[in-house]
Amino acid sequence: MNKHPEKLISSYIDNELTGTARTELEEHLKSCSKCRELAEDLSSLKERINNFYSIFEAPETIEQRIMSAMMSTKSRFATAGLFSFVLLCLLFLVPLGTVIIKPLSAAFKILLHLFTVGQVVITADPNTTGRLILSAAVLMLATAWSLKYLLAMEEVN
Amino acid sequence: MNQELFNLISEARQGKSEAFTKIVKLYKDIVFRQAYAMLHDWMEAEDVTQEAFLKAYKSLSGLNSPYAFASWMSRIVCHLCYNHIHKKNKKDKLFADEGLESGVAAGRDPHDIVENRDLRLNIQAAMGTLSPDHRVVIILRDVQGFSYDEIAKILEIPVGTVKSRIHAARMDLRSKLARQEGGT
Repeated sequence: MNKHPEKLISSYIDNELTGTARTELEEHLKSCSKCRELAEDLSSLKERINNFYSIFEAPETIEQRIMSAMMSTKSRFATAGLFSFVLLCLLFLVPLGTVIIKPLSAAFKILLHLFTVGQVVITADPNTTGRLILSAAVLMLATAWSLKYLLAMEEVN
Repeated sequence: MNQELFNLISEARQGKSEAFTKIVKLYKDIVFRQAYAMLHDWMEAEDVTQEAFLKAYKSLSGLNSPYAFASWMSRIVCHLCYNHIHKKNKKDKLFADEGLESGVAAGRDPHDIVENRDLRLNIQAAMGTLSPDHRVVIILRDVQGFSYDEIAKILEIPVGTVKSRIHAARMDLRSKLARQEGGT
């Protein structure tokens, strides 16, 4: 052991020195008044520091301050979350819109053209309307007859 | 750590704010004391306490084990204090008397308070002369009661460095206090 193992004294008073090192230091302290004095001083210093700071307590208002700040953080999070959601929607929907709207617009145009063509065909032949009405009437009669037939079959069963 | 605290931390990690409120009640003095001892400024210590709990609330999911809560919280306080010191390039100064008296635990003997005033002038002045690195190890060991291993983990430094810093800081304090007290 060193002549005056001062560096070990702090570890010793903090109970961080174990085994042989501790035993050797204890032996040394018995015979060395200088190191013993240092150990007593450091031990007393440790106690004074602890006593000094232990009297301080957080102000009573701190709890309320923390809880209010927590609540406002929560609402800020919610607002930020909503804002992010809207932003994300915009970010995704704008490119998505350009992809979807183009084919939709093309399909609508095709339907419009078909409608126009149909209109032209109908107006070109004056008998077309009459034929269509006749066809519809025949179709309705056929439907009514088949329905009646089905109901009759049900009754027989 | 007792079972109640373990449960509170687990519940708070699941997002239950009532559980966190109870944790604030339990730890506010410990957190405040550490911040105050580091900064020697009542208002800044209050701000750090608030910031520390808010930070803890936001990042509670990052806590590996509820058993490590005290040292985890202490690490947050250390970082915040270092930031405050760094940002303001703060020079330690004496506590304002009114702030000090309002924080002293109620119901103490007036003689104790007078005695403590002298004591604190010495201890406080001496602590104020230490570098933040030396002050923090003394606070973590002598005020908060952490072991050398825990301090090493909190500050992310080797245990050997903790030992040498604690010893150097104490020797420094001892000689400064001896000079102060010898002069008065």
